[in-house]
Amino acid sequence: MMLDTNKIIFTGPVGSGKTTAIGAISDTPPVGTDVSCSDESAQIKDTTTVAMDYSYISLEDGTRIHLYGTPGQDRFDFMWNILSKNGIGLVLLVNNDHPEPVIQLDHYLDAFSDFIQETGVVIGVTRSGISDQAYIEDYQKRLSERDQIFPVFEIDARNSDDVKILVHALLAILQN
Amino acid sequence: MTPTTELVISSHGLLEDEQEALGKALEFLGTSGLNYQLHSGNVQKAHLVVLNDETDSGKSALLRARAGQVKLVFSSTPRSGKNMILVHRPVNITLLQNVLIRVFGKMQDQLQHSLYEPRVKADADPRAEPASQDETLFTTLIYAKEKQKLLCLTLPDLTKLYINGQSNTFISENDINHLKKFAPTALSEIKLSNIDEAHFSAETRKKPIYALHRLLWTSGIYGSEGRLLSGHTMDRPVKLRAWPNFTRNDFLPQHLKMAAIIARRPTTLEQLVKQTGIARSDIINFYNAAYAVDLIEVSETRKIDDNTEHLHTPALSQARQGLLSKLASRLKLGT
Repeated sequence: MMLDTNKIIFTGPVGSGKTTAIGAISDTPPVGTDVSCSDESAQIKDTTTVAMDYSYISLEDGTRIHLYGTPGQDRFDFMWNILSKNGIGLVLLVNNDHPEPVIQLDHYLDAFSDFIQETGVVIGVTRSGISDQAYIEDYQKRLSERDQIFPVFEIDARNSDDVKILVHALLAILQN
Repeated sequence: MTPTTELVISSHGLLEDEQEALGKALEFLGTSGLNYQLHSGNVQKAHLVVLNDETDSGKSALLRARAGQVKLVFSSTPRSGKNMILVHRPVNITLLQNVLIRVFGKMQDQLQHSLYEPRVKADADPRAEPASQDETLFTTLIYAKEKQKLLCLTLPDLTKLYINGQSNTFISENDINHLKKFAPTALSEIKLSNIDEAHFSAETRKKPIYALHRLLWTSGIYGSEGRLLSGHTMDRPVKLRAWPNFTRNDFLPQHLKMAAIIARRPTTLEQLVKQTGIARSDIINFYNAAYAVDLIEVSETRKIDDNTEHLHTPALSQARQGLLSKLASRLKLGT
């Protein structure tokens, strides 16, 4: 299933709201899956199991759009490329009450740079209402410095409309 | 506007027979004592704007006209708008005379009163100053921000709105959903006064403070009414500095498409109209709002090449396009 192309990847550090965001728009509550390495992923066969979130959205014609949440811990970052391969695009969630949220943004943009180049990314800033570590303008400024004008929105990962707007922005980027 | 007893009429984009019909209708009214001046110059200085909205010049005049001006629109298609009177084309002289008689009758009161007064009434308070050239609540907010003014506005429903252009905040006991209804309100309907820091602090103490950008954005979307900000043009390339924070501000679905395009590369608004098929007014409203909150970078040079072909990104496969469209449709907002 991981190799399916109809998938949107949700990434971000631990506690950024990936599971909640997936659950806000998916048909069923996300499941935290322990996935054994498959034959196709032979290069990581020794890595035992990998935890990630999964759910899906069913379209009218029965097609499923798979939603994957990457493991938040950096020790699983080797999974990110495999998980995102041939995906539709990336939703990056950044936890605003992290001590250095803008550095987190850089970290993930760099880690997924090839995937972002091939597809697109939207950034959701979570927990901005309870922390003023950074303001939306700080993220915008950093993106501007990187010469990457990506959508960056404040979101409440529990609010389905917020998450839908993120996905709509991703679709707008991909279609235009 | 200089005080005058003349009714100033400007005509724009009329065809020869329409100009002639207007001339004859006015001539008839002139014999009944109407004192008027007809010209085809500055739209904004006219009491009455007459235009054919199926010509470029007429369309342009309609965009430039102020919300408070009466617009007599010659058109073949039904349309409506604030202070707009539709005259179906081809124009019949007798019908036009009747329409003008009714329009002038209704405008007499205005001519005797408000049109001759300063558009913004100054308080008796010596702190007050006459109106700037701004025409609506939206443009007044931009003015306050750019000039770093402290202003007190009293809206038509007597809502008080305090603008601090120095700290980019506004203070009001009413929320933004209430205030946005007044975004297109003509300045003539708003009481505006300057206010010094001491009075500003005293009058706003313990009242909720909000970021001015939220009100600017909302006012731009709801108050622009398809009229491009003064001094801006449709043919200069513009680019987004940053995406608007769509989850916390009102927007239309087509704004995402516009943002996606002008975030990627400098594009003229005219090119956006051609490329996207989005209504010109929606594009202008979005542009005005984005400009007001500092999200727009305007190119120094005009782009001569109007070829929109190069604006298209590498095509997605039809299957992928179809999939994305189905997903967008499935994820309707508010469901």
